[in-house]
Amino acid sequence: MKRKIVTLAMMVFASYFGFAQDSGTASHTLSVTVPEVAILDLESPGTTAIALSFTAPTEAGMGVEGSSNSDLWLNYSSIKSTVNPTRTVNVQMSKIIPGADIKVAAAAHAGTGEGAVGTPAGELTLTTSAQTLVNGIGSCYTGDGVSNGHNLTYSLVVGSDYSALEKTNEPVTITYTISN
Amino acid sequence: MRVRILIILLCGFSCSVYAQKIEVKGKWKINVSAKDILNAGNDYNTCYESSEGEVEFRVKNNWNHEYNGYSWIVYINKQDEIWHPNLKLSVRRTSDGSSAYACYSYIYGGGYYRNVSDRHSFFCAGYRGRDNVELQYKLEGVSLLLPVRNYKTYVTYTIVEY
Repeated sequence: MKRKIVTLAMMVFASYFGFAQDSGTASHTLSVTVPEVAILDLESPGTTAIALSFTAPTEAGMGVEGSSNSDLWLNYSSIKSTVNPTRTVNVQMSKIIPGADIKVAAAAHAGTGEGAVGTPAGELTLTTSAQTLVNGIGSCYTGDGVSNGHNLTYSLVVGSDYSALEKTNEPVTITYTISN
Repeated sequence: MRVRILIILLCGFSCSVYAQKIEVKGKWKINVSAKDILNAGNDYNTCYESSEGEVEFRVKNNWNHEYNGYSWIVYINKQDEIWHPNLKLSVRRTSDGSSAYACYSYIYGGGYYRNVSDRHSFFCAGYRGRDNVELQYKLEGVSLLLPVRNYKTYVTYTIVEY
């Protein structure tokens, strides 16, 4: 009988101090959704409207001379799609200038930025159809502003048909698109 | 007779064994958007903060509620479902909360951002029950270089008495 009482007393004692080791937990979720991203823009020290012109010859019998411009920089930010592992930047212009070719070349990535930036495809002669200027773009950002991204060099040259040249001052729109 | 009394006492103690409990209310969901990128060529703003009180916790006494408070410590850790090693989560306490017995209850620690890792680490401590202790989270490392995914982790608060 006495033994039972002692045992029960010990159990009471133990249960009383048991709380010292009690603990409780509670939790909640924290979720982050990282979506696909594909944005680009053009940067320049001034305006993104550039003027290219032919220079009249100073000597009779010579042809007009073209010009070039390297003011523009192509910036983009991209998170690649799960379906398409890479993106491209395509370029096209609104209309053809008779007798003249407008060419564009993207330089290799420069400046800040990080990740799988794209590879320039080389110089293109612009047409009204989209052509790939930069390919192999993965998850990356080029850096923002002038001197970051791909420097674009435009050249205005006489086309294959000199006879098609005529005086004009019509603007053309050149459009860059980053693929989804 | 003595045995019966002891059994009754034992049952009574067992039912009312003192234990602190912690309850957490709220969650934090971050929808990173391309709009967060101010200009093409930039990365995301790499630091995201929840609003203050996005998540709250409460320390509750089981026995007679506030009357029989003891000292406690809250540890914090996370268990990842899908996570990226570049993502760094931290949390801080933005309020002391309240207590029905303010004079006999207090809380300290956790006022500055503390890293939340897979391992339990001290977050804050206190005495007796506290309600509506507000928390604020900070997530660093969000970048365009992270794969497209829904990242998810469970933040767990563990209370231990001493």
